[in-house]
Amino acid sequence: MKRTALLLLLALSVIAVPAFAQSDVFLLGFSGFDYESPNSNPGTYLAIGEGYNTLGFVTSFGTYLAPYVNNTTNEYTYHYYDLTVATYLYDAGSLMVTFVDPGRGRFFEDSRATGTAAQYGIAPPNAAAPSKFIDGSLILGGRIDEFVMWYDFNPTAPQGGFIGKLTLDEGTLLPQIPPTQRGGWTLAGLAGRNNPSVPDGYDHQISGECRIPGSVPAAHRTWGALKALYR
Amino acid sequence: MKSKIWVAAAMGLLATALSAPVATAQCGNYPGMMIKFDGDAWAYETSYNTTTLMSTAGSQLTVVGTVSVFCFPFADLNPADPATEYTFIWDGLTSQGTASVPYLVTGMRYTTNYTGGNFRIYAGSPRNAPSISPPALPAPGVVPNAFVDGTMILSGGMGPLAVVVTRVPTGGYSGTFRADYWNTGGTLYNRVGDATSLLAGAWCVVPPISPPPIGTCSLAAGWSAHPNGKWDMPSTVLALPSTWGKIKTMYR
Repeated sequence: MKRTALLLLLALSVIAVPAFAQSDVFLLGFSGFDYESPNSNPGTYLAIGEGYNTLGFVTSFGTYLAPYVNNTTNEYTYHYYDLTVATYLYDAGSLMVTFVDPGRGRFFEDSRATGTAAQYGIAPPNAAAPSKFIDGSLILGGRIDEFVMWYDFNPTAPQGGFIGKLTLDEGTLLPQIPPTQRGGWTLAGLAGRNNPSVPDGYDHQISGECRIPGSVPAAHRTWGALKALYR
Repeated sequence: MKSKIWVAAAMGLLATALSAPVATAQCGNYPGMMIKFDGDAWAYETSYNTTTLMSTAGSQLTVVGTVSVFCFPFADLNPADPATEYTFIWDGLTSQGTASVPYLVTGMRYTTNYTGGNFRIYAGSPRNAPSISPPALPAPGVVPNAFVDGTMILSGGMGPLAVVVTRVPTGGYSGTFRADYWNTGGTLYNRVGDATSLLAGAWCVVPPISPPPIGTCSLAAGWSAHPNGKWDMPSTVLALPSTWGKIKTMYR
């Protein structure tokens, strides 16, 4: 009787396998500016062979890194570089470029008390950029692959964006990233319109983030459905 | 003696007026980024097809989120304050329908304009808004409730919100949004004034196919996208950030 009651309860119960995260995992957000270097063809934005660089500040951290950073005592910066234009597509005011794999992305921590404050300066690379963005401790870094940038030169609302894959492979905080999640991160963001905040020599405001797709969600099944799998 | 005291008092007043909190370095040059949001912001709408990326004309879009960075003239606000949560909502956004056109031959571009929007930013306690990942919708009592509780510190209108999602020829997705905004109210309105400025950022759509292409964002059921971006400072923010040291150099 007890066994029957137990089986009945199990048959009626909804069995949920352990729940995994359904949403993506956020690593960090960033904001900065971008520029070309080398800029061998000043008349063409991101001509083949030219270099794309962006640098700036990390604006927030996700749960993997948040326990190990301190925005009060430290300044956190980023630098994406070694991105050489591989292909160039332009049509009717729309531009898309791809880059040679791999580029490099790095994130740094620098003491506000004893380090050197990062400064954009003008006409990068200059005495301050990128040097003052990369002179702290390297907390995380990795190769950037399949980086794509597009820009719409619409005169009324110019705007662009970028995406790329980041595989983490260095840095003092690398141990905080699960080994099974060192690859597969997505760098994505906005390359905004030119405006008074963009220092001379830089091209666009950059605002973006790094995240990784979440796990496939578990489905709820009944005991009867589970048994049917093994008949 | 009296003249010396008067000068000292005047210099003190001058220092007070001009020594607005210096924007932290991450805020960049003036004028620039004013308010930023990163991982904790999500969008949902009443009639949107996540597979075709098409928003039906008349669909109502809502965006909720949590602020991650404050810059001048809000640099005194701490988005990490354990006792105060700064959240926002964009609502009243009516879709004009999505237009899709080929992009650079093999790609596709999806453009949706949403009109009539408003935004409100709140300072609330306790910290109760979802973070890291949003709950499945509907989430009564949580969405949008937890994002619109507390004191409304800033509010305003939004020009057409243009959301552009591009499937690039390499197969990935890159989305952006932009809208002109202007402030109209809130307890901290006097810090910014009513000039128009830019609200812009990235727009990460829910994957239209499986496995998820690069540049898409997997979210709980009911959500359509994850935006991250910023309000830029309007020109009516008149006071320039400065320090007492900088003021002194002016008189050397």
